[in-house]
Order: sequence, then C-alpha cells, then structure tokens
Amino acid sequence: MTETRANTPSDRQVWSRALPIFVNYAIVALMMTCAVGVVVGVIQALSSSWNGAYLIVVCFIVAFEALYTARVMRRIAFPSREWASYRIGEVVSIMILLKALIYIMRGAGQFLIDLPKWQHDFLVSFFTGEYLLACVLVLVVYLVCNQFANDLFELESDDATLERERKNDFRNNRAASHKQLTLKVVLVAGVMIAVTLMGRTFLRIIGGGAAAASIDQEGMPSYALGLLAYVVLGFLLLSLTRLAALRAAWYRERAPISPDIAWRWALYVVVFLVVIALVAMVLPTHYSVGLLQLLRYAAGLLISLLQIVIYFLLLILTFPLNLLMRLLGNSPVTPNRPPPVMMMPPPASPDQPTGANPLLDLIQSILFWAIFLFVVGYALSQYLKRHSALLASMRGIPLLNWLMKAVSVLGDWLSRLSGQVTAMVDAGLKRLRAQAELQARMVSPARRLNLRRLSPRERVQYFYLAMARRGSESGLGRKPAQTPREYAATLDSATPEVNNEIDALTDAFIEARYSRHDITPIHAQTAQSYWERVKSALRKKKSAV
Amino acid sequence: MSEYFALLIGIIIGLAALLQEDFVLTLLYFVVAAYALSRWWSGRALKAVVVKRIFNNRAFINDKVEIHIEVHNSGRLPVVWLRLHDSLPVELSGSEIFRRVVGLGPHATQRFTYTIQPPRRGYYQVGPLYLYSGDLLGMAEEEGRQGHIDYLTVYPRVMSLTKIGLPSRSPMGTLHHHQPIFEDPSRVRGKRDYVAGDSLRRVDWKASANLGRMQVKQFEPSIALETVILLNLDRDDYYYRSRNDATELGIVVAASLANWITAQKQTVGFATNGADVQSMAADGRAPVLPTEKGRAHLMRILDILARIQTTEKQTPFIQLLRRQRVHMAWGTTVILITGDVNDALFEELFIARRAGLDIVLILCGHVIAADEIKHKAQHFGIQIQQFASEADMDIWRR
Repeated sequence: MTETRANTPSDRQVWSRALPIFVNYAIVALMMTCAVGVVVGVIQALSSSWNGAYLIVVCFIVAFEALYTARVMRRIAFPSREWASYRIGEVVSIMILLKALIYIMRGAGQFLIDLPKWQHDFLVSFFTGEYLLACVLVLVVYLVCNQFANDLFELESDDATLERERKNDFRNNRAASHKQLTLKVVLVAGVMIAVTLMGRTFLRIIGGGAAAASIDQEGMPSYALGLLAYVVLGFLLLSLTRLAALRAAWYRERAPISPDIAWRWALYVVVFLVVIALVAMVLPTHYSVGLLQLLRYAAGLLISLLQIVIYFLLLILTFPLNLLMRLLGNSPVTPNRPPPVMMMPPPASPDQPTGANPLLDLIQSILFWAIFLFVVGYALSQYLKRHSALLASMRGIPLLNWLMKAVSVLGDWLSRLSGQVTAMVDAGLKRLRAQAELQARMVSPARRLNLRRLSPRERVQYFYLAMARRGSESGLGRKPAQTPREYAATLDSATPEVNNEIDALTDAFIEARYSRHDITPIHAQTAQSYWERVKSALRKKKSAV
Repeated sequence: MSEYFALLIGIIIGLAALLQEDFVLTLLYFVVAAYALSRWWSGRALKAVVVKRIFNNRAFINDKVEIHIEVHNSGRLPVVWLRLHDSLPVELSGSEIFRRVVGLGPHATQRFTYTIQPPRRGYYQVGPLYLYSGDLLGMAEEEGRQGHIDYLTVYPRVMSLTKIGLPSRSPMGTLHHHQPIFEDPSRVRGKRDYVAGDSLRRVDWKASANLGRMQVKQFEPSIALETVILLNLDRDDYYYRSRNDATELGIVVAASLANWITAQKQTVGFATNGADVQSMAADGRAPVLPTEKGRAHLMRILDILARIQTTEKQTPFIQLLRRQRVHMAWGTTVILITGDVNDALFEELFIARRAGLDIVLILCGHVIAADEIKHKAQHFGIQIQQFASEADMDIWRR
C-alpha cells in the first residue's frame, strides 16, 4: 500500500507535467485558429455571400484533437494496421462531424433535401464546394498540428521525462526540435502572408479601381490582425519551448533551477510581446507606398540588367554559330533582344494629399524613414558581424572604408550623445529626488510625529517645544542662553492672560526633562491642556501682529 | 535560429514590395523589433550582472570552507535567466560543484552558499565563475562571461608536538646560555660600581643618581640561538615508490616543527628547494624565510608549505644547504628534512657542524640505506630521526 502511494505521482507533479503541455497545445490551437481566420477572412472578402466563421471554431477543436491524438499515437507503431485504422477512423469522423455541423447550421431541412440526392450521385452531392473547402482547411490544420505535435513532444521537459532520460542515458535533441518548430512557425507565417497578400491583390484586380481605392483606404484589415496574432502566438510558443529546451539542458547539468524561473519567463515574454505588438501597430505604414514602389523599381531594374547580361552572353555564344550558318547559307540565329529597361518614374514623394495636417504627415514620414533606416542598418550590421571576412574585404575598398568609418564615427557620436543624455536625465532625477527629500524634511517634524507613540515624559517635552516654536513664530523666539524660566518670563510679559499656563507648562517641562521619577499620563494630559490654551493665546497674538 | 527569422523578414519585405501592401510593414516592425530587442536585452542584461565571491581563502585539510556567492543585477532590465557555474580544480572535484539557474529582477540580488572540503594541502584556484544568459525567444546564442578568479590556500596537516629531542647544546632561541660570548642588554642581571673602561652605554643613570655614585648594569650572557628548517623536495632524493607520500610527509614534519618552535616563542627560518607557484623568482623556487618569531611568521611558512611543489634536479639539496649555511649564526639548529643522505651531503653536514651549527636529520618515507645513514650520522654526532608515516611522529607527541 505504502509502495503504491510512493510510486503514484502527486497532484502537483501531475499538474506540473500537464500544464506546460496544455499551454503549448492551446497556443498551437490558437495559432491555427488565427491562420484559418486569416484564410476565411480573405475568402469572405472575395466572396461576401460565404460565411465561414464556424470554421474558426472547428479548426480550434480539430487542432486540439490532432495534437492530443498525435501524442497518444506515439505509443502505436508506425506503419501498422492499428495505426492506419486509427488514423483513417479519426479523419473520417472529423469529416462526418464537419458535414453534420454544416447541416446543423443550415437547418435540418437542407439535410432532408440533400439526403435523396446522395443516392443518385453521392460524390457530387455530398462533396459540395463549401464542404470541400472546409475539409481542405480542416485537413491542413490537422496535418500541420501533427507536425507541431511531434516537435512539442520532443521538447517536453517535465521532471519525470528528464529523470528517465538521465537514467537511460538517452537524450532528446531539443535544440534541433526547437529549430524545426521555428522553421514550421516561420513557414506557416510565410504562407499566411502570401495568402493574405495574394487575396488582396486578387480583390484589387477583380474589384477594379474603386475596390483598390477602398482597400488602400482600409488600412489594416481585420484578418491582418489575425496574422499579427498568429506571429505573436508563434513567438510565445517558441519562447516557452525554448524554456523547455533550456530546462532540459540545465537538468542534465544537474544545475538547481530557481522555482520562479517559469513564471518570470512567462510574465516577461507576455509583456515583451504585447509591448512590441502595440508599438508595431502604432508605428506608421502609410508612407511605405513610396518605399515599396522604390523596391519594386529596383527589382525591375535588376531583372532588366540580368536580361541584358544574358543577351550579351548569348550573342557572344551564337556569334561563331552565325558565321557557320552564313557559310552554309542559312539565316543567322539571333537571340531575342531584351526588353527595354523598365524606366519607371521614381517613387512619388509623400507630398500626396494623405491627411489634413501636413505637419503630422511630415512627422509620420520622418518617423517612418528613421525606423526603416534603423531596421536596414541593424540588419546589415548583424549580417556583417557574422561575416567578418566579408567585413575585412569591404574595408579594402576605399569608398566603403570611408563610409564605414563615417558610420562608426556617427555611431560613436550617437553613443556619446546617449551617454550624455542618460547622465543628464540621471542628474535631473537626482536633483528632483534631492528637492523632494528637502521638501519632505522642510515639513515640520511635529506634523509627522505620532503623539500616541511617545511616552508621557516625551509628550510633556513635546508640548513645551511646541510652545517655543509657536512663540518664535509670533516673534517671541527663545534665545539660546535663556533658561526655561527666563523664557517663561518673556512669554508671560507678552501674553499675560495665560501666565499661569505658561509657568505650569514650563514647570512640567523642567520636571520631565531633569527629574528621574516617572511622569504619568495624567501629567502629560495636564501639560497638553496648558499647551492648548497657550497655543490659542499665541495664535491670537500672531494674528494681531 | 536567427536565419529563420531572417527568412521571415525576407518573405515579408519581398511580398510587401511585390504586392504593394502597407500593413505587412506592421508585421515587419514586429518581427524586427522582437529580434533586435531580444538580442539587445540579453546582451545588456548580462553586462549589468555583478558577481562577488566571498570566502575565507585559507583553510586546513578537511576544513569545510563556505563559499558565498552574491549575484547582483545592477541594471534596470531584468535578467530572464542566468546560469552560474563556479569551476573548481580536479583536486576539489569531490566537493559540491556550484551550479545554479536563477532569474534576477532589476536591481535584485541573490546570495548562494556552497561548501568545499579540500582533501589535501595546496593552492587551489576557485573560479572563474561562468555566467551564461540568453534571450527569451532563442534568437541569439547563449552569451557567456567569466567572473574573477580567487585562490584558496590549504595548509598542510600540522601535528601537535609536545616533546622534541633536539640537541641539548642548543636550547631553542634566546634562552640563558652558559657561554659568556654575548650579553643580552634586555636581560639585566644586576648592577655594580663603575670601573674605568666600562662603556658609558652600560651606565645606569637613574641608579647612579639615587646612590650618588656611578653604577653600571650587568647583563646576563646569552646568544640568539635559532632554528632553520631545510626541506628537500627534489624528487630524486626520495625512494621512487613512495615519492609522493614521502614528500608530503616531509611537508607535514616541517609544518609541525615550525608550529612547535613558534609555540615555544622561538625564532625559526625556512628554506626549501621546491617550487612555489607564487614565486617571484624566474626558476619558480620558493622564497627563503629568514629566522623570525611570531604567528605571522609561522603563517608565512605555512603559506609556502601549502603551495610548495616537488622539483627535479632544479636545486640540489646540498647546494641549498651551502647557500644557507653562510647566513646562519653560530649555534643555530639546522633541521634537515630529506629522503636520502649521500656522502657529499654528510661531508657538508660535517663542515656545518664544525662551524658551530647543530644538525638534526629527519628522514622521510622509505629509505633504502637507512641503517647505513644512521650509522654515519652517529659517527658524525648528528641526531637522526626517521619517519615512514605520520604515525611515526607519535614519538614527538608523547
């Protein structure tokens, strides 16, 4: 009994193992949902009568199912009869359920109408265009999820798995799996971008000028947000799986892992991705028209140049052949002339009427180009850093060398500037803090004092000192050489109506300050009553002055 | 990994340029920003990590040395993960190896402690502490940095000795001596009336003023008798099968004797032909410590004994003795710890003895011609002792 208990994993262990798997599956399912959302969005834009919103939900469920099944199926040998029957059964079930769902959405009447048709021409009437499209989408999701599931399984790194690997001296190549996963995420993203862009282009073509104008004015379409969500989720998945891969490596090294790493990681990655996504959405894209035209123009120019080069090469190669043909009396072979270089006009400057406020346009334009140049510069610097040989050879070219030196000087200047700005900000913050502290100190300590926390002796002393402070505010400040009684005489002469109170408070202070016997709370209360009367008298005097 | 993201960026730019779509730039911003910020964050965060290693850098064998490591993030950026690994030499590999994976918030500090238990004397390198960190997305390779190196000095075993039969002619140090060769001005025996020829330095002016006649101080005769330990660490002078144990035993004997002499408040010097890793000399030989007294001096000797290594024919022991003999005062007790004594060394010892030095020979480990050496030593009037193991030193502990 005890042994059974010892071998049974605790709830916490089960959760610690299941939670990362569940989270990863949920992210992949959501990614697939986003991907399908994008495709559905594009198709809906092309065919407004079609409503494929249900496919988004279906694909989420199918993705989850596919991931789970792929995990379960690892126990079954491949290829085997059992494996094939399981898989075929699964796919057929999905397709039937999908058909059923379509009928549920359309109503039972449609089913009853279609049912007799199946008997006559099953293939045509069962596999309708809409159903086929839905099947294709669902099957693609199913296959992609199976691919993701393999990598996710390899990347699992719960304690039990890692301990088993350690015991059996076997290890999964998690780094390779992570790389594979990254490639798959990137490829799916690429396909989605291509689908979206082609869909929009197709929409422009079939819609004519009005449609193109409305698309251009639309800005970011809703399904593009799905694309962005897919990329964000993809990055989240890559981050979490990276943690899994690292965790496995740390476990192998027997390095104790701080328990807060996992939640810190999750927190940081979510904040990081959300912030970047928000920034990316806020940054301007309107002025990219000129840039993209420029890029297309450059691409066209490059292609034309290549064509010229090929033409000349062919000309050189065919020249001896032509001579031979002339000798034989045949017409010479001439390669096709290259088309004229596509001399497109330079991109339009962003002075087109894009907005009501030209200043805002200018700021957006500057911001855009600054960001773009930064991106290009950063990418180039990263590339050159990785290819030191290329960098060295580039230094040999005088113009490039000069340019690199100029960039280096600019970089140094910016770095210095950044340092100076940081120093200035730090100095400013320090000054502000110092001022705040000074102000806090300037506030009378009496106002921050908690009388209840003082002992009766301290309270009596406090009331006397408060009297001295009030006195000094009324122009009756205590001189350093004055004894308490001498000071009392000064106050007496100025406020004769509270003579007795001043003398009594002074006596109480002397007793509290110089005696050793206990000062009772009653003493303190009496001193407080004296002080309040003296205070009101001094206030009156002050207002009179 | 970054090549895939470069691929993604390429796809985005290419399609955007080809199909003239602005919204793709948002994606481009996102991917580039994620890539750039991720790399920048991990590199910058690691640079802001400050590591301190605090420990007692001197210990005895099998002492538990606690090493405290303080990791502080001095930057405003959090360090998502930080892998720490403190490297230790092979000799300390039996001890706990420090490895940790932590996350550090901005300006956060974490402290760790691990314990090492050095099994033998030595001068061990502790560190460097390796720090590794990386980004959240796996876009950059793991970045590493080395911390500083510290050293741990592990003293040799010091046996507590109680009774050492050193030559009676040379009581240790500044004890009373019956031969009035030198007088110790710090030991006043009495006073007498001044006689012509007495040095004015001997006049006791206070006593003269008190008595009304000139008084001179009389001092006890004494001589500074010193002990010098000469340790032979030339491997060839030890029997090859027990070379390592015998040299280690020699070091233990030297350390124990130095400790005992210092406990007697006497002066002791030390010289060896072994190699010291911290030596300033070009040939790496250990420094010679002149005779001094006190705990600080003993610790200096133990420091050298902790670091010392055997050599091969670098400085012959006889040469060391010759070189040191000229600096030794008359009556100095010379304790030679070695694994073998040949005729040339006996000859040198005889010369030293004739020069007024008291010689004590200690043979360590297995000595092939031990009986012959003992016989010769008796012939020359040299006290000799042989220790095959640490247990043999018990004769000094009874």
